[in-house]
Amino acid sequence: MYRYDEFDAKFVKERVNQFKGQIARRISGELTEEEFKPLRLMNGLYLQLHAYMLRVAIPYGTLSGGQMRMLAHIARTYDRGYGHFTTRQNIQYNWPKLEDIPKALDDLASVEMHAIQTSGNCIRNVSTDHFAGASADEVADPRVYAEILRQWSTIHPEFTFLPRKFKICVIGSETDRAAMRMHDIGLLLKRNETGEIGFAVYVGGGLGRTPMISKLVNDFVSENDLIAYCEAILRVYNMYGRRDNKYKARIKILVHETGLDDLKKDIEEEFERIKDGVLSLPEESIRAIETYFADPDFEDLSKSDAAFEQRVASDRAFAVFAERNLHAHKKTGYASLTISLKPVGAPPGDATDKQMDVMADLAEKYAFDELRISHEQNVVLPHVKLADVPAIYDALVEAKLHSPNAGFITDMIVCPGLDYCALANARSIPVAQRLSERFENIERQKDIGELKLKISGCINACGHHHVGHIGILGVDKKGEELYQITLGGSGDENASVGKITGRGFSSDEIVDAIETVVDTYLDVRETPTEAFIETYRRVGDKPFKQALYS
Amino acid sequence: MKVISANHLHGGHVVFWSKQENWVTSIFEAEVFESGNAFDEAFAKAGLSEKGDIVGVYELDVRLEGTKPVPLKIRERIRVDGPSVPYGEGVVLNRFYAA
Ligand code: SF4
Repeated sequence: MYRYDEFDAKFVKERVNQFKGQIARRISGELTEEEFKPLRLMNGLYLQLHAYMLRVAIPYGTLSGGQMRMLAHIARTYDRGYGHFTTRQNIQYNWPKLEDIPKALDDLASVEMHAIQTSGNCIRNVSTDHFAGASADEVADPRVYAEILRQWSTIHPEFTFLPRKFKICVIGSETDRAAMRMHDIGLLLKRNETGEIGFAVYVGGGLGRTPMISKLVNDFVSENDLIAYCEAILRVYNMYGRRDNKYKARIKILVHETGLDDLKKDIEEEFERIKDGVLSLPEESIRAIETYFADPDFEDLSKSDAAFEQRVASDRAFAVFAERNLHAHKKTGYASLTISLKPVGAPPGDATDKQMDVMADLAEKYAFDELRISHEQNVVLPHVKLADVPAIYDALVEAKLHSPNAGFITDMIVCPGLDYCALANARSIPVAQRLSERFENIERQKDIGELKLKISGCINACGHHHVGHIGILGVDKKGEELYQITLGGSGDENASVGKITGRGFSSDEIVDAIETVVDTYLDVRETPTEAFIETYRRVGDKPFKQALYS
Repeated sequence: MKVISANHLHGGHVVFWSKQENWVTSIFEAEVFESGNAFDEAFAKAGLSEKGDIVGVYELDVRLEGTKPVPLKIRERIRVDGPSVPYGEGVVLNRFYAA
């Protein structure tokens, strides 16, 4: 894992002190709310419906046991004993008090964490695959480049006041587990014909009120040109991105309005101008960052483990968990283990302080002191021995963290919605809770198979509903909640934006409507292994609309 | 009918303008206005608190249920009553996707 160097530590300390001063001046009345608001937002502090909300950055979703334990401490000491993991692989606290923020930020800084650039029109937390460094299918570990991008983009003076927020995602394998194509810049690690490492660069993806899938602007940018190329894109965006209308200010609109060819020309011209200069990444710097992400000391193990197999054979619940929540690892005898934060009837993505402590302990004891936060709002132990999975599972059962539903319909992405968010039109969490109860039976979920259900409480689409196989969008109809359904979205390597089925459904109707969609799929699928999205792509929306509206 | 609401600078919590011309945390104690001069005057006075410990003064429409002012919009009802779902230790976890 990356460790702060002197510069990082000094910068975070200075920034915390600066924000402490700003908070003190706000409390004394020296700063008005109008003056203070942009300053607090730059430090991840929002004022929501009922309270402040602090969003803490978890760079590319990677953290240590000690850092997770600090997140638990923050929840316990300055909040109400829980936190909410987000689709940007960060964590949000819903109830901190303004005067406690300086102490919380000091505590976070003590474990090399902060809340900087988790809001505002700047480059946000770079996201990546939650199985990075563990998955067998990757060209290289994308976190190396995510860290380089983090260093480059942190308080980048030119990109601190962009037309709008800016999101970058880098992945290391063709299989996209991080919704890379829905980012302002998406980077896919690859090798060229001569075996050199570089990136296919995509630009202009995004969700929100105008969902768009990014477009390829360059098929191969070499690794030492990574920063120069991104800088060129950001410069073109900063110059031409619309500042007159915040709904048209994202780079996706620029791509759409300018046209890819013209924009590409501008980017390439700027790149030609600045490449081979100070922005060229020296080989030794890349290799130095790489050492932080070197493999841990894996043991040479055999493919199967007798104790693991025996538990699978004798314990049905364990077998179901192992089948769903373990992901193939590049090293024989190891797996990546998903801890689902989607139990029946609970707010998706939430964990209590005690549960965070348990996950920290498990990381330290069994997973080389490493955890990941997935954009699907789960926690991952990236490297565990198969032999240790029974003991990990038992600890998860004790902590009520053993939901065996990774990738199933109940493993939903869900934004906080109207229960917390000041921008929301409708609640998301209660809908998710009722859906998890309706589809509680695990055999039924197995029969339904892989199904991505995503819920947003407003058109800002933090719940990624546009790329849900089934998406639910909460809207406001004369002061009451209404839910639109979209079908056929996907955030993976075959990215697509879902289509609205038709009129929306009331809160009382929405769960039945989703069940109707699922039952229709079960009726029309060709074989039990044809996934929902495959069936949808084969038959279109007609049978679903008929079932919903006739 | 209307009440005047805002957030408190320190805690961020929701507050209401009362008959005593101060800010209270319970909507039961909020002054309920018919639109008109009395409301305009109170709103102007309440707005001065933004120079102190109060953030984002605004008005919201309510109806009376007994003596309780109840906001007309669901957004405001949730803002007044808190999240409609349990959270943290309040979440009951006793079902785990069994067969
Ligand atoms: S999608 Fe809307 S309601 Fe949900 S968190 Fe984002 S802004 Fe809030």
